[in-house]
Amino acid sequence: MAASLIIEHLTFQYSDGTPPALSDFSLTVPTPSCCAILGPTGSGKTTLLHLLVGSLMKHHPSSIAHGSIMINHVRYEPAPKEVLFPTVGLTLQDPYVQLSGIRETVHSEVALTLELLGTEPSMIDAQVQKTLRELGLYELSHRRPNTLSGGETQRVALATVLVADPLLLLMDEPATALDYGAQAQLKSTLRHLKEKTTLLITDTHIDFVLEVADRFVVLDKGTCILSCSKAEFLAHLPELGNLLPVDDWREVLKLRERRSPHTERVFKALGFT
Amino acid sequence: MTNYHLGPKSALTLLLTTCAFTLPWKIQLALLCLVVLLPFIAPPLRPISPKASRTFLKFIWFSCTLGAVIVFVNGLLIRGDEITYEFGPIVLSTEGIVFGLQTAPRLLLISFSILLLFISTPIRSIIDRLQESGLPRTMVMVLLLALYFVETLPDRIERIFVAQEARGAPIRASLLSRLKALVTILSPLLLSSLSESVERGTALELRGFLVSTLSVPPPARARTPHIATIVFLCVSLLLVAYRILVWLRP
Amino acid sequence: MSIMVQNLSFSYSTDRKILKDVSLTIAPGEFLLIVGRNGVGKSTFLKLLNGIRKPTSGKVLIDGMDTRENSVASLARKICVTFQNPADQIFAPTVFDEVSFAPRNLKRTDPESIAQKALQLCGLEHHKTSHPYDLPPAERKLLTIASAVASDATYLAFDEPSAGLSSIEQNLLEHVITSLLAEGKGLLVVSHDLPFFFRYATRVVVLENGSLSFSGHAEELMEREGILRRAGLRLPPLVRAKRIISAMEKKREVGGDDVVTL
Repeated sequence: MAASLIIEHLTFQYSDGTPPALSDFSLTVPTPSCCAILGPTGSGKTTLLHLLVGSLMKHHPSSIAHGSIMINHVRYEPAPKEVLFPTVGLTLQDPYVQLSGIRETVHSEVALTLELLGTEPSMIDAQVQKTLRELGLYELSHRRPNTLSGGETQRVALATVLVADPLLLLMDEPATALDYGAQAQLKSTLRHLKEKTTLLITDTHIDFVLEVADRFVVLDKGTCILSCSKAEFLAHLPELGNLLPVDDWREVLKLRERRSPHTERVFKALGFT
Repeated sequence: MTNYHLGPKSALTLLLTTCAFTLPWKIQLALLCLVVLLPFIAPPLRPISPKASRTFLKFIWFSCTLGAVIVFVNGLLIRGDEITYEFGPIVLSTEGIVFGLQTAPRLLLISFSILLLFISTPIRSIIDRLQESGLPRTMVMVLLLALYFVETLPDRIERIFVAQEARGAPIRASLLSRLKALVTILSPLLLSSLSESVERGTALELRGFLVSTLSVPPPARARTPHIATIVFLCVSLLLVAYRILVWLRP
Repeated sequence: MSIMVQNLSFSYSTDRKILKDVSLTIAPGEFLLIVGRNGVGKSTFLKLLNGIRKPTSGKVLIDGMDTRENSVASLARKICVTFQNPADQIFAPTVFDEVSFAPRNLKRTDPESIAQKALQLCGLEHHKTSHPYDLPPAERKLLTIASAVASDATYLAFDEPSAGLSSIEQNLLEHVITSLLAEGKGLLVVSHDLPFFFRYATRVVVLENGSLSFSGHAEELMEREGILRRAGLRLPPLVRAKRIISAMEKKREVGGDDVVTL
């Protein structure tokens, strides 16, 4: 089951006098689907994710927020003040930090999540195995977490959250640390996942999310400057040069303007559907 | 009421510490030699990792130096009637040396007895035992995170040394330059490690740590004490009793 | 004057060789891009260049200085290696102290103005007195790059310098690269970001199973599909688009169906 997400006029300041990290942000994400939150460093992407999961309001009680967030038909005004895990799961930008470092094997690292949630001990093993299998990590079950490659660490980090079956999954720049091979693997995992979960993925680049997301939001200094479907996003791409690395894509879009008979198929092959 | 039982290794540490306070220094010195050999001859006390055994070997050298320094400094500083050695301004008194010889084995015996426990036991299992004894899960997690912090610190220091060297700092030139570099990086290093620990803590919180009120510590396993534990504890008690008797004798 | 890597082999232990018989040269003014899968030994290769690791066999000469006979600190005058993770190398209490560390240790004349110039080049001037850990991750990465620039070494080597940078910092990085090349520095970059670096690289080498499976120009590499796939590399979007179009045209000519896969 996937959770619906409706954000209305959300404004957030870390403290009085600082510029808002998010201003008047609204977003409705249908279920199940995948939404990409794009923008350069400091545009408010991470702030948004931490607001949604509840950790931000919890740890910054002096922060100022307005608006409302509705997750899975529960309304929070302005935002949740307690961590909503396992309803909402969040993977951090640095997968090495996501892993606790206090467990000896991948299996027990993933099981830690369920132990923390107080899951019935006899249920834990089966649930962990199922998650590891789904993410293609079963072979790594007995490896030490600190001996994994970057791509493997990223997927184990995802497993530590997915094992609790979150209804809304937030991922902070999951593609950043990965080479292309590992990215491709993660992409196929996420395409599968978005069939049953609501996904929010942030990125500073567009290549990765273009092949995964259905909806695109572009943030600039806390303000939403674009929130649209993939087709509209592509149409606006040439104007986003100062926020996202789109130079290459701009050239690709010029090809489209030529309207040769097969360009649409080229775009499909490139992930523009 | 606690269910905690002392393990044989902890009991041995206790016994050796008791010896350090109750037995004459010559016996302590003999005992010290035995203790140094223990990790090589007693399987339960074998170092758990190559790193642990390196630490142990390093500590042997370090303790030799430390012992010599203690004896020398005591000889130098404690004035006495009898002079064992004289060379220019360096005058070593016999009383000082004897006092040094009484102090050094005691200090080293205690150090080695604790080290013996730590090189042969994964710290995690010590913490597991603490949890079994009824320590709250939250405390255990905090301890484990702190442990991770301490465990990774030497690696971090080494990596920053390498980075400093790569930018022209003569780190390997002498022990002094290493020490100087260590002093300058220590506070920023602690800061960065701390900020990472905070992030790690956040990640754990996002995985349900402190979120659920359902979590309960696992039931404590009933344990019967190991025979070695009983023996070590009894010998410790006997030694203390003997010492008290000697002290009470008119 | 150049970096000469001659029949270099390296292994941490006897059972697995990380590098096998690698030879190459890099001259000042060149940009060498080193690519390959994660964990293939690219980072180890950089550590062999400035003597942090010593060759198991073969040798590395930096402008004639053998890395086996010279200390890392003395080689640092010639070559500055920057690692992937900023947390492994940032240690000073302020951004300025961090950047001026290398020129001061290397006894460059007027280290302050060198550091100032490096900060300017990397767009970090306004952070001069900030604590490095108050900087967002992407700017911390730029800080490590500024620190390397300030070393004023003839050769600068970077491990994944573009990772985690958004377009703002990427533009700055482009600026840094072109300035350094114009100054005649020799650049070595380890990365899997072919779409970003292929424009600047005068040469690309692919590290595969410990040896160089390719050495040549980026344009040539982009024709070698097998190598690209094995090295976990992605083509720039425009190149991909053009490939697809030409493949479609070819199929159209021979009258095949329209299905084209990447």
